Amino acid sequence: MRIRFEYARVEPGQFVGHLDLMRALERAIRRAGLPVAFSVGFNPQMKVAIAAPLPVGVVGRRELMDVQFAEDVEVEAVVKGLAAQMPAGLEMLGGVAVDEFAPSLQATLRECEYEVVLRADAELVQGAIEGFLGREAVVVERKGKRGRVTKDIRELVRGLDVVVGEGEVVLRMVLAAGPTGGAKVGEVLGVLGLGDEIVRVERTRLVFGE
Amino acid sequence: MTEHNWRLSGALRRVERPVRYAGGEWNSRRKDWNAAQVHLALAYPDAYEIGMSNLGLQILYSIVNDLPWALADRTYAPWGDMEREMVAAGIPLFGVESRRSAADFDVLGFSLPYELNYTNVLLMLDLAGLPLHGRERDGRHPLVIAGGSAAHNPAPMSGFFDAMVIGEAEEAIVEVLDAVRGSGWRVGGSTGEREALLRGLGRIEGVYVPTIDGAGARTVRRRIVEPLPPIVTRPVVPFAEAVHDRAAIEIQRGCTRGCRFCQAGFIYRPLRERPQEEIRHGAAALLASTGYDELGLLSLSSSDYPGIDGLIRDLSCSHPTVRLSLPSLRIDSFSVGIAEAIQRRKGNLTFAPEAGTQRLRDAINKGVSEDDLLNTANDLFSSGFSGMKLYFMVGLPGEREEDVEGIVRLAREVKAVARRAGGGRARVTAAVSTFVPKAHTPFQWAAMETRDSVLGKQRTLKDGLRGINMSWHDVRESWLEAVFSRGDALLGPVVERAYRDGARFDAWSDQLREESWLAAFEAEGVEPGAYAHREREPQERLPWDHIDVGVTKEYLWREYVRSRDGEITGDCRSGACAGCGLMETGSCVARVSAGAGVGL
Repeated sequence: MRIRFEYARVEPGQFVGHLDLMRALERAIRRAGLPVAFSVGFNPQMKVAIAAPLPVGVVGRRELMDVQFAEDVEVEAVVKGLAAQMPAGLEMLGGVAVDEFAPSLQATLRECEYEVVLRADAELVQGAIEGFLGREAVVVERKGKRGRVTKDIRELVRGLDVVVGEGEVVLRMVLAAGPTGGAKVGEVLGVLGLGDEIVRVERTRLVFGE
Repeated sequence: MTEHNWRLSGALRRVERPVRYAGGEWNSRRKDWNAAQVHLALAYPDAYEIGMSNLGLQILYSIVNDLPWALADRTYAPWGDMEREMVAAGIPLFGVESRRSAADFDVLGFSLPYELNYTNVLLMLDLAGLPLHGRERDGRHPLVIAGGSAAHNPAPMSGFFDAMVIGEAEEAIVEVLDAVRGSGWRVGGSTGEREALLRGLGRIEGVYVPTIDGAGARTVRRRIVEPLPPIVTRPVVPFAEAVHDRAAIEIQRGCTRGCRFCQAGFIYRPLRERPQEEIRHGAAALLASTGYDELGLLSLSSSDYPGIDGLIRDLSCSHPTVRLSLPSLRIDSFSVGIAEAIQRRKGNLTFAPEAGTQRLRDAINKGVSEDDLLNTANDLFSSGFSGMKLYFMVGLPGEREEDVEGIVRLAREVKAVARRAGGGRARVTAAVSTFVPKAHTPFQWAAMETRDSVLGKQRTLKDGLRGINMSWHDVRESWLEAVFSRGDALLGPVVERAYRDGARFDAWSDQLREESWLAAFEAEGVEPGAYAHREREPQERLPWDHIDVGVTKEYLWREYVRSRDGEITGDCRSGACAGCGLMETGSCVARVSAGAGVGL
């Protein structure tokens, strides 16, 4: 049986790295005594799959995780049991049974939406956004398997705008993600010249497709 | 968001592994600050991931937080990048749970596991905004205390601490905090009251107060806790991968083997075993409250624990998906039973022959025979284990060339057995450390071998052990450890100078700045060779003579002489009492209860 859990990663857990987060989730599953399925072979791994790693420092509002169970379980009970074992910064929001043979979260991920709260001058940020959107290409450097590679992320930034609140400037982004490639929120912020102004970075939504 | 949080948040965004400073771990207590009468910050002078593997800290954290009137938080040495951020942003050293400044706590308690952490102690005091020296602190400042293995020779760091707990701190920590509670002083209070409190602390058994006791005016007796404190069943579970990412149970404390180089074997006597029932219950509770998939059964000599194979079998049965790890196995008490009881065969089992010839093994009182070692290797690989790790030591007193060659021969023979019993997959690895003479051991009078000589031996081994993966300990670190482990108070200014020159995280090979240390020795007019490479005279007064660990100096000297004569002293658990001194004081609980007489 496969259950898709929705969870949030908030303060003080947003600085936990991806591998550490996976370990923490596995320990929570073990504490809850859930009959999770393991892969076969010499080094059995828990069958837990997430949609996309959350970058260090990013709060995740609606993250998804698929867990394969070795036997049929009652979804509400499992969600409650797991919720009780979540460490500070991890919140269990809910769960639903999904088709065991449906494609993985990773394979169907298409976009990620982010909100970045800034302490900055709204006009300056607006200017930086217009500058970004006005370009034909935006090339960034990434660490590849053999040294540094370059990537044009202009087309991968599907949405970019700013909302001004009381004393807060919120930058919103929709970035391509998934198996066909994507842009990283850190990269976009880097191109916009924003760093020290960041109060908080949040991934607000994951978008899936066929 | 407050200004302070904003600056901290910005810093965390820029540093490596920010989870080191973030707190929020599973089982962390985060007690209400205002509800506690006394606030303690447990300080570990190394990186977070090292500190989180330290069982002693988990024990004290648990004990203090179980007190309704006290609160214990934790703080660790910030890595270089975080140190720079903190200094630039004016963020003082803080507790990871409360996020409060270390200087706001009533007591700052340092663990001192290893001499190469000393500069980190000063780093943390400095970042806390506290004066480094005990004599400069007053009523405004927390009580800065220390404990741990290295504190058994308190002299080098005595200038920096207000009090030092010698020995096992589980009861003493409560007594110290209770003294604070009962006194009129809290942090920020009157200097007079703080001084009166300090005087009172000196009356607690095991507590050494440098400003009052001086350099040995009074003998301080080490604290021994009997029975062992309860198993910590809800340890703090770090997010970041700690060096040992596992649940841990201390199955026994102390050792009866008397290996002459081993400080732990002498300063943690007498032997105290934890009852099996307690271990079984503790293991179940511990695994349920943490979710770890590995459980370490810790002691100085695990295979000596009576009924160890039965215990392992029971634990494996009750917790089939949990890996059991047994560090500190003895070659001569390992058995096929133990091998078979450890169900998951992946990974290494580690053994420590230490010396390459019977002559030298007898001299260091590690009397295991070559047959023992080869039989153990055979049992191990025939049972399906794929790896065996061997610990060796170079530079032991009286070591000759044939002893070093003996290591090569022994390792090769084990490899041959491995091949025969385990096939092509069988792996033998060797880890070679360098002998460092430690205080409170029979070898405390011995000289450390010169660095050039050690390097030569490491080269010989590297050449001879091709085909066997070999690692060795950085000789610069062994040398520094040798200077400090038998150091006196004159070394305090050296630590300070090295720290001010940028020395930090000296235990990390790639961080060790030898230039800073050499410059510090020179500037303070201290000759390090006199500490590391000088053999001590039998009648010489040693800087730790005023610390009574229970084992007498006469006994240690007798053992030193016996080592030169190649005489073995047997295991006093099963054999005769060797008269180490604990029996006379009634501290040897094992023997006292068995009604055995004093030997030798």
